[in-house]
Amino acid sequence: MSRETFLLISQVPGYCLLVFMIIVSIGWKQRPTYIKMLGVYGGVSLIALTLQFAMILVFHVPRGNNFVYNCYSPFEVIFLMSIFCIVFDSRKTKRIILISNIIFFLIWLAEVGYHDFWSLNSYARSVGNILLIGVSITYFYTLMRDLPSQRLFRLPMFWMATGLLVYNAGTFILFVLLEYLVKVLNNDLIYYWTFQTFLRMIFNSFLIVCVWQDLRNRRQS
Amino acid sequence: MAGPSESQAVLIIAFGTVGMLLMAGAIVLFGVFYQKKMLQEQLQRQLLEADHRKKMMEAEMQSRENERSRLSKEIHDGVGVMLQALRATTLAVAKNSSSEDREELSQQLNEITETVRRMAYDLMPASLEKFGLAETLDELSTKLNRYNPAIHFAFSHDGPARKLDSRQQLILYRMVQEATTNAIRHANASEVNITMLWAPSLLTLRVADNGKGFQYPTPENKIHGRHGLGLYSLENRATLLGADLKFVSNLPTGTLLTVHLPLHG
Repeated sequence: MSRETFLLISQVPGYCLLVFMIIVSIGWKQRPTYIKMLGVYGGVSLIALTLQFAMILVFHVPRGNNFVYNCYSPFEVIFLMSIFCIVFDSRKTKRIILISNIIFFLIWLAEVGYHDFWSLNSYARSVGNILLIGVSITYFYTLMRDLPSQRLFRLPMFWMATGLLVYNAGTFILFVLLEYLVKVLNNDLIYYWTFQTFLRMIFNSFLIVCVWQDLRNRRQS
Repeated sequence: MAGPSESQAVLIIAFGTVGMLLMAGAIVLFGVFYQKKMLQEQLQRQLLEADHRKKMMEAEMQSRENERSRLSKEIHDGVGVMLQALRATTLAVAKNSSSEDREELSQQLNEITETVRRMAYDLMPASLEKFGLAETLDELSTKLNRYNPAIHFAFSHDGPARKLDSRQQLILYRMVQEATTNAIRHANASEVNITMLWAPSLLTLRVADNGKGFQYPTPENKIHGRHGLGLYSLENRATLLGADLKFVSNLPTGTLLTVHLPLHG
């Protein structure tokens, strides 16, 4: 796979985010808080992705994309966890999410301190993956316990949790072994990263369904 | 210690990722199917409960109607006959009294007999079994006119009449009785119209009054409130009948109660 093809594929999640941003902006004022937060997350993700491309293609900063990713990564994990914090009713769960966020941030700080902002720091991201998998599973557990009368496919959060679960489960091993893969595989890493891009595309598509479903529910009620 | 070789790393990633994705998919699918199954079970349980409730209501209503029928017969055949005997004896004993006293005594005895007859009729109208619902409602409207001179009751029916079973007739009769009682007691109406409209597969029964109307009660006072009890009983009877019950209350211009009973066969 050529570098150009890889860059082209990498843009697809960005287009998905663009569609997501358009849909989430429809009826913004009436949207519930968690959807608004998801909108903010989408906006920041789009900016981060654009900056990553700009670092490579416009500013030609070596490993500049790593710098952007290292700044964006803690935001993504903490912000997504916080969205669940709003959705869950249980105080205990909220407290666990808050503590997990703090622990994750400390791990991220330690990793960035150990390496630097220009390296691909993936261990903290692996911890983030575990946390997001955990929070998604907790959401499914809550659904099974509370048994909403509505069909699950009609719940916006169901789509978000599914997207998160699939993306984080699919990329977990990749992030755990990323440092090793960078050293060993060098150029072949793009194949693995393309797979990550593909999962990111799925996740973003699920986010689109999530906000569209919310819009649909709102119009029907 | 040396790390895994390149091919080993690839295998670890491939199997690990596939395993994780399968786990994620399994969790999502389990959630979806579990919810579907549980909701189906919940629905089935609700249906069973509703069926059980309906049977209980039906049994309760049946026992109440049996008791009413027994009381009605007891009053009509027992108390009524005894009253006639008492009347004859009293008038014979009072033979030597003045004619005014005898007249007054006779009038009082007539009133008592009439009241007892009315009670027997209210408990179980004999005409329902003999002549059917339309005639009984006509009779009810005549009696109501007699006992409530301030209100004008009218009954009309239209369309080709169909045979209703005695249970259906009795429930519909009780519903009209309840609605007219409400109109007398609470509506402050001057006119009450009872209408029966027969269609090939539907019987529409309407009770409309020109009273002050009412605010449809909330679920709380529907059960515990004074007005609520009557409405609750109407709703229960409609459920037992499998009929559709509708209230239109145009505050302050009256109330319209409509019962749609699907006719089968």
